Amino acid sequence: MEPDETVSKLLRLKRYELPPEGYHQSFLQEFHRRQRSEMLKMSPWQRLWQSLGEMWPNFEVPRMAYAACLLVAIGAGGMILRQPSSSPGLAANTAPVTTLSELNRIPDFSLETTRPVTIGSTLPVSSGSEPSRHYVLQPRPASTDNPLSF
Amino acid sequence: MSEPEEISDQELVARTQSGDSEAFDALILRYSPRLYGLVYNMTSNHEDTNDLLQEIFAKAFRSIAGFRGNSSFYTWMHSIAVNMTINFLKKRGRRFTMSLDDIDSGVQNDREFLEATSTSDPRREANLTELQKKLNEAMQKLSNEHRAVVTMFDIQGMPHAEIAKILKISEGTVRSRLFYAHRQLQNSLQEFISES
Repeated sequence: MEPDETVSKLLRLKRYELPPEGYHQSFLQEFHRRQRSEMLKMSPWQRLWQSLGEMWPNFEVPRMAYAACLLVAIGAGGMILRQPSSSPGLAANTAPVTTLSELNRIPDFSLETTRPVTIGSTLPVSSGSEPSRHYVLQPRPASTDNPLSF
Repeated sequence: MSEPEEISDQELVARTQSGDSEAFDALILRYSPRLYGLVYNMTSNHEDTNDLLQEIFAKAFRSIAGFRGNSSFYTWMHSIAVNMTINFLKKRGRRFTMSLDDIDSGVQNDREFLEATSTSDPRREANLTELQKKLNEAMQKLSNEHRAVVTMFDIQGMPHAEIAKILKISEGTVRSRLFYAHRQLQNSLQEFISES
């Protein structure tokens, strides 16, 4: 007999290596027991997911679904990053700006209307005998020199 | 439950998909003996086989809703079993190296095995335990992929084409793996081959 045939013959003997009688019936019972215990161990989320799966037994996640979700997430992230910093949340904390002209408007100021400035609230700084002095800011600058040049 | 053999796999699968869990029970009873042989001859351990077979059917039950019938249920079920067993063996291989004690030799008392192997040579009969041990040892020396092919072809008697479909490889690859595995087994079982 050829060695290869002998090997095959020896290997065929392994067909007779069988589990004990009644094994397959008890296997089925064990299968049911494990299924029940698995159900008890499942978290509420897992149970919900399984119930959904039973409602739509033919539902399958499309092949490219995960890639599509990733692309949408990247796109959404990009959109958020590209938005200007003045978001509605920030605007609520600042004064409302309606038009550009309001932004550019400078409050009216006239030198003519300027009043003398006094040091102190009501009383001038002076000794008792001296006449009261007022320090008055001139409506026009007294000199055009740079005040920092000495 | 009606006789499982009278109903086709296709019918049982359709019933399971529509929520009839008894139909899946019938599939378990139909496939567990064959898959037991497949897993046992790849692991050489009854306890591992039992646990693994439970996981295999649990996975099949969870995935059966997605089974479209592109292949036969037989091929689909065997693919799950082979892939899960190979993954298990890879993990087990990383965990520890199997000792001879891990190799199950509890079936040498099996009546059918004794009848099938009894010959007129009393010495051969006396060496039955040794033969079974050597066979298991020789099988364990093969790589997981080679052992899967040998199990399906030599032990389970599957044709090359079916094995190729289950493993998703070409028939040529199946043949070359068989050739290589047989050569390795010849070396390991030299003493029994020379006696015959």
